[in-house]
Amino acid sequence: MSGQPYAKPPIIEVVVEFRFADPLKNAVFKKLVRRLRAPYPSRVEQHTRQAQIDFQNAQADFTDPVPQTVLTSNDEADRLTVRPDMVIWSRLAPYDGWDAFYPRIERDLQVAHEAIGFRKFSRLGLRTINRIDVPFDTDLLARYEDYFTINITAPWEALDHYHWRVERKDPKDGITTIMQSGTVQPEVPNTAAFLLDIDVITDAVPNKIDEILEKLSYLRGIKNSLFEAAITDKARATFA
Amino acid sequence: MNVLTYPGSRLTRSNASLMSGAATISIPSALGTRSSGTSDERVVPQPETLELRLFNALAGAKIWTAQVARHLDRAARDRYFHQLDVLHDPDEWFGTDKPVSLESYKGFIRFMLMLGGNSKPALALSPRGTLLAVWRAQDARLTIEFLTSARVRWLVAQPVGEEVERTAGDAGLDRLLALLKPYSPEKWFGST
Repeated sequence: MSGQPYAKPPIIEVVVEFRFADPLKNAVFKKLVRRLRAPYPSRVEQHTRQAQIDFQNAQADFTDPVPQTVLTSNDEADRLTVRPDMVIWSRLAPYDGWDAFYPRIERDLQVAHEAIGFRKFSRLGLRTINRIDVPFDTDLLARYEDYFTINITAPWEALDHYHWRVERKDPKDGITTIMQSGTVQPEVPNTAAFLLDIDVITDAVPNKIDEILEKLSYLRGIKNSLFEAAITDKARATFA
Repeated sequence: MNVLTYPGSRLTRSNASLMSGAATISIPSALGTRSSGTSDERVVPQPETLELRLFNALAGAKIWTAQVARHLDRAARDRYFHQLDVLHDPDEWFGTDKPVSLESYKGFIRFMLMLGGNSKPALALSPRGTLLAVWRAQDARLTIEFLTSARVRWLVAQPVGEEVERTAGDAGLDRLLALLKPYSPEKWFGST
């Protein structure tokens, strides 16, 4: 397991999702939350709802509310979301690297295992959202193509906004990768801001904790390769 | 050539998923929602207690900070969070006051990014939820109220002979440093 290669990585959020094959019953869900919450000083109980909109018949269907508990550190950067159907770890920037993030997943998984026993997972996913701030040149243009290797070639000299998304399921290992990029609200003065969002997902999750963690490491390798393939040396220089 | 025109500053939402109904839904993120075309999942709003209102405002500011965290010194980030926590102590809260406005907080952080350096302003919160930052150098004081993410009100108070001279203004954030130049702002900010 390697550490963080960049002093100032562009990651604004890294997320790891474990989805249960069978949703937890309410009592089990509550027990899991009780056992996981100790290291997290802040806890918010929420409910989520899904809406399905049928435009043709002008109807909207809402699912029953699903409970979720969001456990966070005082600075909101370390987050654990527990739901009956999934557990999600995330870390917001500043990101101190995988070696700082991963032990929390390992620790919480162990606690979960002791609390509710082994549960089969149907999906394992890793997502990183990167934000790259590109300075405007003296001609007031942000030359993002100098920072990204994947670009839309548009018939105009300059754009106001863009967004692209590509998705691929690898026929060999069945792993789905989604890459997205787009313009977002610039927050740093005199820059334009671009997201590079990478999801790596598998539906073939092993049945042993150590094998699951190995698979997570495999997903991370794919994610890192995609990230490095999508950026230029000029971008890398800004992360140093 | 693909470039972005200045200021290019509107948040765009994923619309590629609208064109691909079979697209896999992304892993849920704290910075956004999950959606895929005609399906959407949201947190159901809860009745707001005072504690929840304060928590949501603080959490919103801290979560947003992730967007710019790599440009901020870690100690400065921690100091701002601590100052915000102190300003939102529920035991000291007046019921009608508003917690920090995210837009005002964004203005403050943008200004600190513009300054660079390591100046350490004191922070206060107006009853309207706007952040005020105060710099002192001997008897000279600069107060900036961040009205929005892009607009400020400022007040310079400095002794001239036996008197205290006060000058105030209302300006865009981008113009502030230029407007403060006649007052030798380096005494508050250090070299920027």
